[in-house]
Amino acid sequence: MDTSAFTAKFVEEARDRLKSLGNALVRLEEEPQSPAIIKDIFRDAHSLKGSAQMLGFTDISEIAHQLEELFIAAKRDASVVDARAFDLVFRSLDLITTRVEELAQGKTPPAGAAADPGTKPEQPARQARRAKGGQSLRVAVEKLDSLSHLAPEMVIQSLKASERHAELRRIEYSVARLRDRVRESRLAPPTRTRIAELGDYADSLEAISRRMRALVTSVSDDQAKLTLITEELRQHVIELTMLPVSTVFDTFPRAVRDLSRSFGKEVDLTMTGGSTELEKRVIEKVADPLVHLVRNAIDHGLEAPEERGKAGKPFAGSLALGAEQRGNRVHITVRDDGRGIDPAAIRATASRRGVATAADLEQWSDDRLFNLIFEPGFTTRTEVTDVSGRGVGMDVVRVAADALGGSVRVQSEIGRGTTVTLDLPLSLALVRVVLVEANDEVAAIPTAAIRRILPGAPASRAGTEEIEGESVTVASLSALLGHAPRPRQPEEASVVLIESRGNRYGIVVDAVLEEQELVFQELRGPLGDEVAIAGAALLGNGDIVPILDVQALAVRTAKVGPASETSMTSSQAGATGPGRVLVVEDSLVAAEMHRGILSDAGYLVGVAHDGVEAMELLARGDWNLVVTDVDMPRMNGIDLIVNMRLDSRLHHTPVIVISSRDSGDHRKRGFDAGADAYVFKGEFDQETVLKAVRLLIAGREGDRR
Amino acid sequence: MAENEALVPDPRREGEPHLGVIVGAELYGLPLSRLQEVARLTTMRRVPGSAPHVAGLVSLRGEIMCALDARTILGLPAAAQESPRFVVSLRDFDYPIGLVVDWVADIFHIDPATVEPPPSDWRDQRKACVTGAARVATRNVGLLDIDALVNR
Repeated sequence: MDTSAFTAKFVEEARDRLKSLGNALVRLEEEPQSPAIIKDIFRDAHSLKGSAQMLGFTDISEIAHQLEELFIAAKRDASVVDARAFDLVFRSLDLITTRVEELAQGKTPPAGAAADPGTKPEQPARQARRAKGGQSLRVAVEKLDSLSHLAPEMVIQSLKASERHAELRRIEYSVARLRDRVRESRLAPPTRTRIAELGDYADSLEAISRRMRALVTSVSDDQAKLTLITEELRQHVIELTMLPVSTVFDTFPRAVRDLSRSFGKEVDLTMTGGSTELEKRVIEKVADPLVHLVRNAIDHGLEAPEERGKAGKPFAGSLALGAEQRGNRVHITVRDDGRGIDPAAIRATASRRGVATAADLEQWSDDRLFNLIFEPGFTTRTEVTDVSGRGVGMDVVRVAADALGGSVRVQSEIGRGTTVTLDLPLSLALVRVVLVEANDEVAAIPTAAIRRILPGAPASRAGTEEIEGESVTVASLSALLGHAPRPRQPEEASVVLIESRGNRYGIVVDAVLEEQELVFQELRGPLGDEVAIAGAALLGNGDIVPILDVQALAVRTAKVGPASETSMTSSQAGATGPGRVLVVEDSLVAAEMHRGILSDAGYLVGVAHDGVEAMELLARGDWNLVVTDVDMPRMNGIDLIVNMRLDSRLHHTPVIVISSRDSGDHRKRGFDAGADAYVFKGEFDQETVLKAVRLLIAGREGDRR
Repeated sequence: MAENEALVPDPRREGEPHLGVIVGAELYGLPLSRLQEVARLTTMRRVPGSAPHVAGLVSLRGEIMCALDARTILGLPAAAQESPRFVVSLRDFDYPIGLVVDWVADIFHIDPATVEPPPSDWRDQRKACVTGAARVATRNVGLLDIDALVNR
């Protein structure tokens, strides 16, 4: 159906309504309690909502609906429309006006089809002027659009908050009235009628508590929705500052050509994953280390053509640059098919430089040996070339990786080649940490460094533990941080197994609290060298939490050693409850929210961050139900369901999909794969979800019997 | 002075404006030109193993910084846990840094010509941290040497 004629009509009507709404609001500001004006506004908002709904302009109808609700409340209690509400209402009208004018210009909903970037060439003069004003960032129009779409949602949430406020006030008023009546009747002598009144009071109280319950539910729903919106907003804001890795990669074809000439090598360069995005500040800091790695590969790694010929390799050496996103990290690899690194040569150099005794070095793994090449001044090359080989360079790589909260790893095989992998965070400021408690203080350990968390592992007197068939030094966090010895012993402790630069060690903590994504802040100034802290972050409640320096702690663990003061008890067997639910969600905030709702309802909840992790957890334990997101790295929700349905043990486990996509198509894909329920994030309502969980688990139990 | 009050010197007054701070029972002056902000100390995170003159980590407007303990630096005993304290953030350093003091007094103006060497009966630590002393009303005020405090 061609709705353009209707749209024109709608625009006309909407403009009229908006004008009359605006006028009425101004009048209301002068005459705040006037029921006639409130009624006018209500009517206009209502009609606007109706027309917008009919033509499918849901964003307009949704805002108009909230306005209508607000003024329904105002009809009962005019004081609801206070100064704050006025601001909001005006802002809502502005939003609707913008949308209506967009419609007038022939834009179709949603407003996503914003200006085509190609049609508006930047004027150089303007660009220059802007550059003077400070740093600027080019942002794809789509990214801005998705951000601006959140604006109406946020206004809607604010309007809802005003409504809740109004309802609370009405309840407060009812309570006050009831209190006054009870007070009066207490003063009067007890008569039959007075006693009969008690029944009335009970009824009133019942009504009030009913309203309170309803209010609690709506506030809790509002909060859930607000959490989702906030998370989405945060994601969008981060995306704004993301740039593709190709920004750096694109400089390499030329540089490699020049370098290979000057070294007399032939190099085939391939690059993959250039579209992988990283935060601008990360990209900027990774450029130099990459240049070092590429130079090293061409100079040290790749052999000269004749040498390659003799070894039966193609004359041209292959150099591959790759970038790949893995969860909230990006792996950048530089791979060559050259001569590889000889562990014996590293042993010889290390022994000569007195790093360790030759006998000790014999025991070192290749991984640990390869790590030595990142030490300042360490080189196995005897001759020094113009560009590399002076032992400068590789340490720069590690310093840069450390500064970015990343790590670097070398794999090499003699005669086959070397691969250097930079493991970097997607974004610089955010760090995913696990919060732990020791001596009643909270500290944060970067998740990237945690290999495993062993709740209530049995203690060993020697300070070494057999973990995963390997003996690992374990020390208590309190001792590591230099806390005074505790007066009381914790009943149960956990061991956090850390892996950093090939070192493995365990930290005993009193409690493992939760995983969070925090904004990392660097700490500088006169703290002293004795603090094993990499930085700090603010928690949601404003508390400051230090982020532990896992490198420094590795050194201390070796010194402090045995956690003899700690006694650990073996973990309890899984408690019984209404059921075990696995939440699969890559967004920590959303995962945390789902976990909260489900565990409040008494479920035991596990969290996996993508489909692959979910399959691992599902294979290991007995789960009654899975709640999964759709868009996730590694394995998405749909593939997860397909995989579950192929597994005879997981064939019957019910799955609820919670997705931010709401088309019939997406729903169909979910159900086709074998989902039992599909919930749209925008319509997320915890009662509905809990009901679905309850019914599905009960249903499946029924099937089993 | 109320917390977070703007640090605005009175232009009609002569001399260099200083913020009066109380540490223990002693009155000191901090040159306004080197101060960023004054706030009531709400949460502070102690850092075990840090240098003794470091009070801990504080956060001002979301920025986490290391805060120095004026009492320790001036050789005074540690404050009681409950006493309300203030943190003054200092400017012109390469990193954000704060100074924890017990109380914040008025802003007063010091004429450089009236500044004298610290009295000989002051503690050595007290003498080491001031550029000099000046009289404000009836009290002898130590003018704190901010660079000496931080880079000790």
